[in-house]
Amino acid sequence: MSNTAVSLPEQAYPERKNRGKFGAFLFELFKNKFLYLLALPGMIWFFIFAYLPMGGIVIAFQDFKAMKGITGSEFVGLKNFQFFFRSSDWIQIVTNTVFLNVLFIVFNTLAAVTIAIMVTEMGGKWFKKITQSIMIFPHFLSWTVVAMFVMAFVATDGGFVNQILSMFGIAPVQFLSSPAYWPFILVLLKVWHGAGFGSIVYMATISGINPDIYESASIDGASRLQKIRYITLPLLKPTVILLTILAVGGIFNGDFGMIYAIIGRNPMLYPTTDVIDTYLFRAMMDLGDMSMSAAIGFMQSLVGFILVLTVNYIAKKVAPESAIF
Amino acid sequence: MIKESYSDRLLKGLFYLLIGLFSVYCILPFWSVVASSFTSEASIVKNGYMFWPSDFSLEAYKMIFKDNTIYRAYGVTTFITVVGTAMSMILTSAMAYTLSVKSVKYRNHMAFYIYFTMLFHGGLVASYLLISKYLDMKDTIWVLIVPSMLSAWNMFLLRNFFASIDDSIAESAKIDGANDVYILFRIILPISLPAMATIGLFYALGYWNKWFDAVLYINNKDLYPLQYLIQRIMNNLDYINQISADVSLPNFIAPAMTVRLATTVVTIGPIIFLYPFLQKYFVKGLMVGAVKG
Amino acid sequence: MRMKRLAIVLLSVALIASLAACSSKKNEPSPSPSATDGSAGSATQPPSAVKLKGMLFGDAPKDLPLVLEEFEKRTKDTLNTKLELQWNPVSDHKQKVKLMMAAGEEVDFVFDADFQNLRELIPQGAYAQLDKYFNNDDYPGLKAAFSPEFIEMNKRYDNHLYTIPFTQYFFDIPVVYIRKDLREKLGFSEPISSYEELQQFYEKVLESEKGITPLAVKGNGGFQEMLSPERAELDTVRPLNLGGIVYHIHLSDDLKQVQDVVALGDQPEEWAKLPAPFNTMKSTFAQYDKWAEWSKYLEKDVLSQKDHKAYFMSGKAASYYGTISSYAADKKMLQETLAGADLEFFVFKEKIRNMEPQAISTNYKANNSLAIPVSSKNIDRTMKFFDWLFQSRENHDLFEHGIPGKHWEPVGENQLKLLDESDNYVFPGYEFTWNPNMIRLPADLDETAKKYFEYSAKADTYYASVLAKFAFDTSNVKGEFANVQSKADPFIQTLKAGQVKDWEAEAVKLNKDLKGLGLDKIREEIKTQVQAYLDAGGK
Repeated sequence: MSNTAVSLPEQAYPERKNRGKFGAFLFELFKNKFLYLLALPGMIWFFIFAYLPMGGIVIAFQDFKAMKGITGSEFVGLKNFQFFFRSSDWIQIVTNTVFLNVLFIVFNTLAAVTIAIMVTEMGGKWFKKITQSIMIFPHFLSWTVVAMFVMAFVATDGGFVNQILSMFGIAPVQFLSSPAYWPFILVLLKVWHGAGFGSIVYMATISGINPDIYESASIDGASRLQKIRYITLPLLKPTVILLTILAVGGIFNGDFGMIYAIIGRNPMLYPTTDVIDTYLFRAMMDLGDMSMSAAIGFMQSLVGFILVLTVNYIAKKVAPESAIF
Repeated sequence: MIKESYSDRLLKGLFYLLIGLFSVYCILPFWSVVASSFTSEASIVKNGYMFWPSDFSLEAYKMIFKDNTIYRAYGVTTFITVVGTAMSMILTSAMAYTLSVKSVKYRNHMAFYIYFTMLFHGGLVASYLLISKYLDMKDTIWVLIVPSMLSAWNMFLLRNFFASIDDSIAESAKIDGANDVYILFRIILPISLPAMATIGLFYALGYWNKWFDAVLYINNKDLYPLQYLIQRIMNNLDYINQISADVSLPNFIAPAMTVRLATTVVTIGPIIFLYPFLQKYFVKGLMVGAVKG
Repeated sequence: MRMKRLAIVLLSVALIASLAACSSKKNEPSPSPSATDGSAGSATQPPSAVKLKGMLFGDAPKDLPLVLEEFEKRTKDTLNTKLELQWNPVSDHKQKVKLMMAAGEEVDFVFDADFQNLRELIPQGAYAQLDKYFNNDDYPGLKAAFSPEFIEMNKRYDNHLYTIPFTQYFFDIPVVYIRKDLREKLGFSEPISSYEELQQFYEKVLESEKGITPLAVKGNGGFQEMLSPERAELDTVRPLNLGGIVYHIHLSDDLKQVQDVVALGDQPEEWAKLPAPFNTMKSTFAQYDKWAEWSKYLEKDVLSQKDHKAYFMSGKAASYYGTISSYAADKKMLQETLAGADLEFFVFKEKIRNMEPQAISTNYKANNSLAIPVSSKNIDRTMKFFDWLFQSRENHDLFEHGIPGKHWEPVGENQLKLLDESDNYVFPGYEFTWNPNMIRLPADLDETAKKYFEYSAKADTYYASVLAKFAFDTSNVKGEFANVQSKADPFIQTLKAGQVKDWEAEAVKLNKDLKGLGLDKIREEIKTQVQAYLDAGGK
């Protein structure tokens, strides 16, 4: 699998054609011993802090009782998953979750990439510095604070938007009772909140591009737009693909923080904004059942996992270096 | 310098305009938060948010800073941010580099091993048992660093950056006799500054904003990280309002909304000072030194 | 080679990190100089020193160390106990207690309540039974402060006591707070004293004060108790509110058999089985029609309202829904925020307004309590401490209000005056000290409020209704319960805010949907559990 232009002179390793699988394994470890050694602490860390607790997943299949603990609670198979699929709204909720997440991924990426390109094309040093800093501010406002602003904007009586509408003689819109507007509003909010911060990654990628490429393009008479289209964008592709695959893994996970803070418990808006996580939160409010929550969490992970396997497989065929594994 | 064509300058102008507008869109709410945090609670209740304090008051900030705990919290958070980021960066770049070298046969297996942990978690109970009972890390400062030391997301991003570096550089170094560790630290890292700055920033922010681990594992007041303390202040404000109502303490009005805003300012402040320093790494063409206007 | 060293550094960093993590920096509980006098049989020998670990929520009051010091000083020879309190954040306490129990950590007492983990943890045997410590002459303090009836009513499903209950009043009277200045301005010279007057006031507000909403309520609370019919309770028909849906349990005349369980939206034939006035849905829930009628007095975006009090305080509403306990603080806040504004309240439940006896039905259950994990090794010592606490006003008030002369001073038997340093000691009495027999009201409290507080502290204001002690256990119908609740929640919420005009038809429709989600299974479960409760002697 080596694409190197110059191959290493073979060291004096025993020239055995067939080392056997285990032998080949050891040979590989020895050949790249420093590299594996470099990765070793990290691998151990993941083992301790990620794989050891993974046994807890079994709670999703148990009737977990705090006093009995994980080892003592009764195994109930798929029972904890039933309630979700028996509810009458689960299709709506799953659709909302996926739909909203797709919108978020697409628009966030578009906005972040656009911003990154624009900023790196700009010249003025101070303008750049200031706007770059400003654009990441929204990321630091917690959703509860943002929610207060949103209310001020969309309120029926005296809300900012309705005030403007009334200046044009248009009747006030009851945003807080009209579910149809909200996917749009949520996407706007998400982009405002995250695009500036998200552009950092892309800016870093662009910074790593060899400027000689741009120089030679200029010499060949390429316009700025052409340079962006034929140099910058293709070189951003691997990063975009990676981040998108990573995001796909979470496509079944609703953005609870944002949606709960802004929509709260306003039932009029549930049809378009209720996602799996907010639904689960309300359903568990009086019950506080750890098994059922764990079961839904497991289901979300499983779906994400299958999706990622699929997308990664495709990516391997199309753009091998961007695939995750 | 090649002269820019008219259409190029037009495009550049458009960029300035759009970025400028977007920045205004971003800063207005933030500015409002800052201004409103310097207002008295009564004024906020009556007038809502504003862009200039109508009734200037430091109530909210006094409320936050009245206790010494907050200074300690700044200290704790600074420590875990600095130390944590350093440790995370070392481990992450080591791993990311290994996974980016094409001749490493098992790198995709390792990548899968790591990615799997991004999706599947054992849940709170299992982690709590592990960290609190078996590793006995409760109420130590390390519990705020070690369990979250590696982020798979950051690692994959960094691997991506390393992979985009031309192979010839590493290969020519190998021919000159360098081993992999030398290549990583002396060659690869120095030319990956934008990537290192980015990932470093992400880790630093993670440590800076850490609070959930503190909820579970820290009971000692002296070890409260900043965000956790802030959350507590916010939570407890609500119940102080209740309790003073029950016991009818007539002299006590807890500033709630202004404090909420002030806490935002208090936590963001340091980050705003950090980011401009990192910006110099996000200039196009840093890698070989030439800066294009 | 220098570079090889770097690799070693890497590994060492990781190793050091884990080692440092493993080293416990826990403060070893310093055993106080062991008071083990060698002499046996000495009657005044203080017991061996013990440190009791407690888990509460909120923030430790600033001067708590001073109070603890004073406590230890006073009880060195009698209790020889130290208290180590851990204060969890309010919103995380519930989860932390569960995690702690799951991990088997050692704690001597925790705050727990029905709205936290009690319902779940008691059946699992997490907490110790405390029956024997009450009404026991060895614990005179507890005996005096906790009457047998109080204890009886706080026992659980298996007729054992698992908590130390804390409460002051069994009921926090709900009121409508009104802008006194607006009332006077609109021509009502006397305080509002009936629903009719209130409605007239609201009409006037709508008419002459554009831009002011007559009534502010919370989005997920709506009208709550307002406008519910004032009528005598029937012993044979008892309402049970589960997850928002009200089930009416119909008992036989001798109160021993469960006959029917009727839910909102059931067919008329089902309702007809119940005695009047419950024989039709419309008469049972007479308030729903009223709510729809009064919805015009609410703001348009009422469903999104998260902080209706702030809405009121900003001057945008003429009145708001609240409870009497917040009167003093709210009055002060209003006066400071809006110049010229003043606050008064209207007790909308007529019987309570007139302070009649036996007006409030209660189950005497304290909302707040402490529980003792079975794993604690110091149960006796913990109970001895609480016995001391309730033995005298002095002991009790030390913890509840602070050091007399420094934070407060007593005014007579039942009142107190707060001193300047009182801000440094704001103690959450409901977690530790509240008791109906030991209440102190601020001496400068408004007379109108004072008389209602005293009314709600009197024992004969209350009566225990049938099935008051029954608590439903959801374990067998977890899934159905979750689904029913999440389906019904939107409807209930809009209903409570008066936004549903034709509620009867909607309720019937909802009922059909709920049946598909397991409503009947829950119904059967209620029947079974109530019957079992009655058979076991419950009332």
